[in-house]
Amino acid sequence: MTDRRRINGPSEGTAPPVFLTSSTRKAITKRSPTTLRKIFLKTSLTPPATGSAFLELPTPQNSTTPTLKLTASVYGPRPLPPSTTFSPNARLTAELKFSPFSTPGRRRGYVRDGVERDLSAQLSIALAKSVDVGKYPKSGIDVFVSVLDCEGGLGDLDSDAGKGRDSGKGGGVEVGLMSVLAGAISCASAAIADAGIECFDLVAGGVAGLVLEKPKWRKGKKADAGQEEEMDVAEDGDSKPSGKKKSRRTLTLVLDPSPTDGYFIVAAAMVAYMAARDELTLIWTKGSIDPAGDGDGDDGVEEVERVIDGAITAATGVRLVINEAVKERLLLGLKEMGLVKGNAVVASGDADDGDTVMV
Amino acid sequence: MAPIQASQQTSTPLSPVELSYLHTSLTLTPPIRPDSRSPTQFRPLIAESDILPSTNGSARMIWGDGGECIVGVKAEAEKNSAAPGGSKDWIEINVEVSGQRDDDAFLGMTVAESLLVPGSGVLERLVLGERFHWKVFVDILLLTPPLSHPATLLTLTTYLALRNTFLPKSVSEVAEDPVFDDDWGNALPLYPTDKIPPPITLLVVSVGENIFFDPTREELAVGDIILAVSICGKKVVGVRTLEGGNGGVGRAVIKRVIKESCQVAEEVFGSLNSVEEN
Repeated sequence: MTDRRRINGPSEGTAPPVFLTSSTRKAITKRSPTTLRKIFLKTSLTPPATGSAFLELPTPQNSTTPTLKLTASVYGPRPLPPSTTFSPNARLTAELKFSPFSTPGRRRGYVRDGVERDLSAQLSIALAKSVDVGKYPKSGIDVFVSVLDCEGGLGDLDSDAGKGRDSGKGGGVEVGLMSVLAGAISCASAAIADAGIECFDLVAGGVAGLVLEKPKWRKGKKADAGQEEEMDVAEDGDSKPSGKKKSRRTLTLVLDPSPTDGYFIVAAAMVAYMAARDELTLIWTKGSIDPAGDGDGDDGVEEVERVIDGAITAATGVRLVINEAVKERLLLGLKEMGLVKGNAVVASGDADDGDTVMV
Repeated sequence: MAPIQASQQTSTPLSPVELSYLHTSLTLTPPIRPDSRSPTQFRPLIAESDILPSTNGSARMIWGDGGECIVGVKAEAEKNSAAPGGSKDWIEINVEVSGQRDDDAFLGMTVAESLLVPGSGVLERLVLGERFHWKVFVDILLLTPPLSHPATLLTLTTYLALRNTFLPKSVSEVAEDPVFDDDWGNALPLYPTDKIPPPITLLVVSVGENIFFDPTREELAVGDIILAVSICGKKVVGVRTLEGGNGGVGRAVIKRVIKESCQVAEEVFGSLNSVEEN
């Protein structure tokens, strides 16, 4: 006898619908490997914050293509709550949060997960070393970065982006999180400068990846290609010397690789770089890099050097954008005070936040 | 110059004067470490493997400063699913630090990132026919956290445990449900000796021109930059920056740290492998 009082589901269960991944994300690699994406960066867009910035990587193709958008707001330096112990330096805390709608597909929860905590920690390391914390005793500087849109997923361990090769991506190392962190560092640094907090230097984030060249005839069946190449890499790392006819992998350096570009990335590096001082505050690499200097690369330069220098080059490019954004804001402020006519700076030394700008 | 203490995590009971003294003695050539070790020398440790009978592989390590870590590896046959994570979900890593809230994402992320590096070949060995695969659980238990950063202790123990992990041999055809050989003697190692070994992570601190391995808490407090370098075989599979230090460092320092780490890692691999043989 069947139960007629309730509306029951089908007795043998149902299968969840399987959707095909949209083809809009399939990007065509148009950029040359050494070209960075254009960056839109504007400061002072969040009035209540002491300093703020908005960063966006525009994608030229169409408006539905996911891109990277994030905002940073800086509060402080403000006094620490009385319960905290004495601190001779400013305490810089950074918090990076993905909006629930930032990832394509699955929604992200409001509770901070491991990835966000990890990125927040790295962000605060990168920023704290650039801020002159000794100038602000007993105070706290709070940086909040909120990611509004992260292009094509993150490739982290618990997101839906790890589908790998069949979803139109190149496979290999995922650089989604790296470009988010690089963007967050650049944006937050501009916001810190906007807040008028004294820094040693502005810090910019840059990403570079070593990409495996794909033989052209294999392009049609990407999945197979990825599989075989992975095996190649595995063989390369074998401790025992293998056969004589071992094909050397040829790696191209790609600056600012996007997860939607469809590269097979063997190794990637992200750096936080202070260009005026030629110093790094943070380094994060993924993927296997061969440190042995036996001329593995195209031009005999070691892979470690290539990928780190590449990331630094990318960061230097981003730095120019930060400079412009900070300068634009500064000139606007000076103009309001009547110190500037047109574009020429009359007096810049005694301006409020003039000393944060280093060109 | 007295380095400024960056955070509570690296803070030590040392006064600014003591920190300055330590910083100076570490920048000398040759440097003088407080415990008179050489820059690449590790602190003495006790290691044993294969200690838990109910696991597929296990190891235990005790460090001189009181840090103790136990790692158990268990494996289950699991049906392939269309789950979003794909084959990255086949290895699950849990880090439990006793007496602490488990919100330090760094340790788990470091181990996971270096274990799942593309091309390590371990995921291919977990395939069981067409429809099944092994799911490996790596449970890392830090019984007494060491006084310094636990990353090195944790990954060295994980290395030993994974090296001793054996999976029952499958005797079924690729299309069948998996059936395994009853004889444990025929079990296959998860990391065969002729394949790429599991990764380890070395904590390296750079002070001035000098680079120190296995730093103590006091040495971490005066470091210019603290890097966690993960090495798998002969390759660097991940570099991360840890909190500490003041201001940035030049790129040459970082490159040198990475290169030296690889040389030291080879020695570490050698001594870890000798633990298994005993």
